[in-house]
Amino acid sequence: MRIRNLLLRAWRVGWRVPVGCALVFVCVVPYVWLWASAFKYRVDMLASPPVLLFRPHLGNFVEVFWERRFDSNLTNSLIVALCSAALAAVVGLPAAYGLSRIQLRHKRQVLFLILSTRMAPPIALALPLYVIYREFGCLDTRAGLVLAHAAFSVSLFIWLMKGFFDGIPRSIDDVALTDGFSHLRTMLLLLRSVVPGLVVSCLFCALFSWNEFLLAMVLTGREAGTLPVSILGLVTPRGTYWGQVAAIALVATVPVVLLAAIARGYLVRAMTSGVLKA
Amino acid sequence: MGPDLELRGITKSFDATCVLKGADLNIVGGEITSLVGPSGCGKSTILRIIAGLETADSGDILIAGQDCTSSSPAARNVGMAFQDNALYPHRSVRRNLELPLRARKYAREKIGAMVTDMAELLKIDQLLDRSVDHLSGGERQRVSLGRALIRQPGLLLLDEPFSSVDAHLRRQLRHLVCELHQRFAPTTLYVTHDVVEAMTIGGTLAVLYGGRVQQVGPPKQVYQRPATLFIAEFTAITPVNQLEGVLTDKDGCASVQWQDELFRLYPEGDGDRTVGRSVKIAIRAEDVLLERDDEVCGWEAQVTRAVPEGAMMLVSLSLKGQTLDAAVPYDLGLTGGSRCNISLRSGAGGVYDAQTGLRLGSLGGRHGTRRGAGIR
Repeated sequence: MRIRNLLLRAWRVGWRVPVGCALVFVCVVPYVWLWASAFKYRVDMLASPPVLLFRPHLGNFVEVFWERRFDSNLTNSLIVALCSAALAAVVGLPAAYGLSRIQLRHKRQVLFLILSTRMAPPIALALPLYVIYREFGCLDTRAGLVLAHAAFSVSLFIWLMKGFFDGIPRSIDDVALTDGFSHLRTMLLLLRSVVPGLVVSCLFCALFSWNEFLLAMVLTGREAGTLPVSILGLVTPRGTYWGQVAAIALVATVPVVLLAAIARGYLVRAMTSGVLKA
Repeated sequence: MGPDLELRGITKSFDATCVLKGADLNIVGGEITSLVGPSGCGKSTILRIIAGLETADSGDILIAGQDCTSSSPAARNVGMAFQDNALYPHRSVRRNLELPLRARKYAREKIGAMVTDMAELLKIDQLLDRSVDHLSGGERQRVSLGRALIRQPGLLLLDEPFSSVDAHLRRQLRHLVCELHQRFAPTTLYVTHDVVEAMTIGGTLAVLYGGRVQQVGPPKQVYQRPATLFIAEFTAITPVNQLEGVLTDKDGCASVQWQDELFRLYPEGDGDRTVGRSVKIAIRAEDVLLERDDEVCGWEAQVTRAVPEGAMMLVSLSLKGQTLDAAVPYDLGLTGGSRCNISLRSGAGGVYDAQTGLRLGSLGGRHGTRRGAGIR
């Protein structure tokens, strides 16, 4: 009997081990490959079967950021990500507060309309945007890309922040309004209660912009190109520079990991406050 | 002293639900009026409309005789306190007391002095630098009251402020409200669903039901002479016995017949008192008097059930095939099955129209008995 129970238990727990290993493999191996490739010589890179033990070097990084001057793409990426998140916050905060607090006749429809901006495939918007930007002379400018990214991420920002504002009792607004504060001042008074949400929402917007490829590719060129776009330049008729692609990709993941580590506490607080709960 | 407040025909609907159907209310300046009603009857909505946080669909709001129907909440000079305290989160007590003054641009030195005064008055001066997130329920309510009163508003609106604290603390806080009211004398509207609290705190009691203010008056009057059967039931602390009767005429004297008993009717109000109209006689359980011996000439009844209810014993009696509830002292020692004599407290029963629920009069003594036996 005891042995049977043990076997049963082993079976119940046992299936999780291979499934878990497979999941970890799928998630982690590409990263390991990426990190390893960034430090490989081209010969090791293209070797078949792949070499596991190799002599690491920093040549790929030097080539990308000193010789090919992709450091300007890195700066562009940083500026565009931060500015578009900030712009989304400036526009989105009053919208989220208003949608949370003010009674509107067709609030649900308005909210859906806001969300629907994310439903169209980006390419459907990228081409008209290209034509518009060309007319207004905004092509290949950081400001243009900031605007485009902010327009995309503001809907996510509004939905997230509306949820956080919904979690604050309305009676606080009532008191503030009778005390003589304006709606804007009331919103600023409440801001301290939604700091975790604000940080997380901004983080999501910045990450969206940092990773975004299609719009950046269509709307920018040599001047305002971001890191993901720069990778495209390494796919040449003479072959793909895999080592340099990996070096850029590695640099591109560092800020994301850093930001996530810094904001982890906020993320947990935001999740437990209810908005991000499944 | 606070200004007079007048509401005229306030209506308000939310989507398809009509919450207020023409509510009228007059409040004399500087008085405390308690607004009671069952949950969801629109008490809080009225309060929000008075504060300007909600717009009425129609009707007028007059503060000190001036039409304020469309003015902003800030312009109405209103202070509010809520059940959930609604303190500005993550800020100190001092900051919470300061903010209403800062919003109105008071001078910095004056703000400091006013905050200290208010904190001393509320006995929270030792908590001034503590965050409001770390206060107990009672302390939070004190801060909330202080914040509502610190700029000495003309109108003070309290929305069930003490319903989330325990009974002992509630009594203390009620006392505090009365003390503060004596000092600042704002026109106060105190919303609650607790009738006892409403009667304790308010000089005037207003009952809101069915979208209208159904009765306004001193608590004693509303309790003793409820204008409708609903108010009689709602204001009762013990259960209300309802007996079905018919209006009759006995030797030219208005009467009520219940089964084979005939009672005098002392008419009140202007309801329809035509003979033959069916009525409901409402008698509160505390007005059913009970003796174990035969001293009192009343009815003989049998106890079917006796359960303790707070300070009293609630006894169910069987009388002429009907069940009556009576609230009696514990020391009568009644148990199920015991027999006793019962009588009704004189003038305590109300007679109400069975259809409209309007009060037609109070129940007098029995016809054909000496000194109206059965009624004491």
